[in-house]
Amino acid sequence: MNNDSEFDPLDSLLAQPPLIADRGFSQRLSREFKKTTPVRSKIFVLSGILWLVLAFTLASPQLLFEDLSSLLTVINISEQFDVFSTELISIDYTALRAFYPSALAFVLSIAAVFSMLLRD
Amino acid sequence: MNIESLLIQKTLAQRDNAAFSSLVKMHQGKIRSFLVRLSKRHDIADDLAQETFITAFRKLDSFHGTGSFSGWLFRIAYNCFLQHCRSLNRRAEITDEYIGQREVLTEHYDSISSEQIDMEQAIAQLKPDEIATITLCHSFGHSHQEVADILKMPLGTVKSNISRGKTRLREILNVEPVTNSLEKAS
Repeated sequence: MNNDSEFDPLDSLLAQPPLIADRGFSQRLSREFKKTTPVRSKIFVLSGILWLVLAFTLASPQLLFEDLSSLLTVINISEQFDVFSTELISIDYTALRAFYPSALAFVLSIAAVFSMLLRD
Repeated sequence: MNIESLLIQKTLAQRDNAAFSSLVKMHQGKIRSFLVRLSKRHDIADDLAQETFITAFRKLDSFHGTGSFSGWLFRIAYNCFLQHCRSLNRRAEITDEYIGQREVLTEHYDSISSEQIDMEQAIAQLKPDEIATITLCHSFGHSHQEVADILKMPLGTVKSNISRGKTRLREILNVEPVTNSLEKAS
C-alpha cells in the first residue's frame, strides 16, 4: 500500500479565508428592503385608488363591463379569450343593470385591486 | 429541510424582509470577502454586495434549488462585479489601490492573522478570473464543476485559472509544496 501524501501549505492557507465583519451591513441592508418595498406598494395602492375614483366618477359599473367586453372582442388573442369574450358579450346587460348593485361592484373592484397587490 | 430552505420559502411565500435579512446575515461574510478580493476595495465591495442581495431578493423566485443557494449568490455577485468593471473599465486601475494597505485589511476583519494578510495581498495581484476561481474552489469549498457553473466558464478554463493562479501565488509567497513520503508498512 502506498501512503504517499502531499501537504500543500498554500492550500492550507487558502482554506482559511478571513471573513469580513458584519459591522451593521445586514442592518443597513434590512433598512433598504424596508425602504424600497413599501414605496412600491404605496404607489400601487395610490394608482389603484385613483383608478377606482376615475372609474366610478366617469363610468358606471355597467359601462365598465361593456368596455371590457369590447376590449376582449378587439384583443381576441386566443381560444380561451375567445370563449370568455363570447360569454361576456352574450350577457344581457339590461338584466344585469337591474341586478348588479353598485356597492357590490365597488367591493369586487376593491377585492381585485388587493388581490393584485398580494400577487405583487 | 434546513433553516436556509425554510427562510427561502418564507421569503418567497410572504415577501418576508425579516426572513431574507436572516439569509443576508448567513451569507454576507463570504459574499463580501469574495467581492473585496475581486474589487480590491471595501467600499466598492460593500456597494456590490448590497446590489447582490437586492438583486437576489427581487429574483428569488428564479432560484429553483438545483444548486446551492450560496453558489447562486456568488453568481449574482460575480455578475455585479463584471457589470461594475464594464461600466467603469477599472480592471487595470484597481490593483494599485489595495496592495500595501495592511491597516485597511486589519480594520475590516474581526480577526486576521499575519499570514492571512500576506495571502490577501498576494491574491490581490492575480487576475480577476484567477481570484474568482481560487476563492470559490479553495477558500469556499466549491468543486471545479460548481465553480464552472457559478462563473459560467468551461471546466478546463476553471482548472487552468486555478493552476495559473496557484503558481503565481507560490511565486509571490515563496511557498513550495511539501511531499511527505511514508515508508510502506511491512
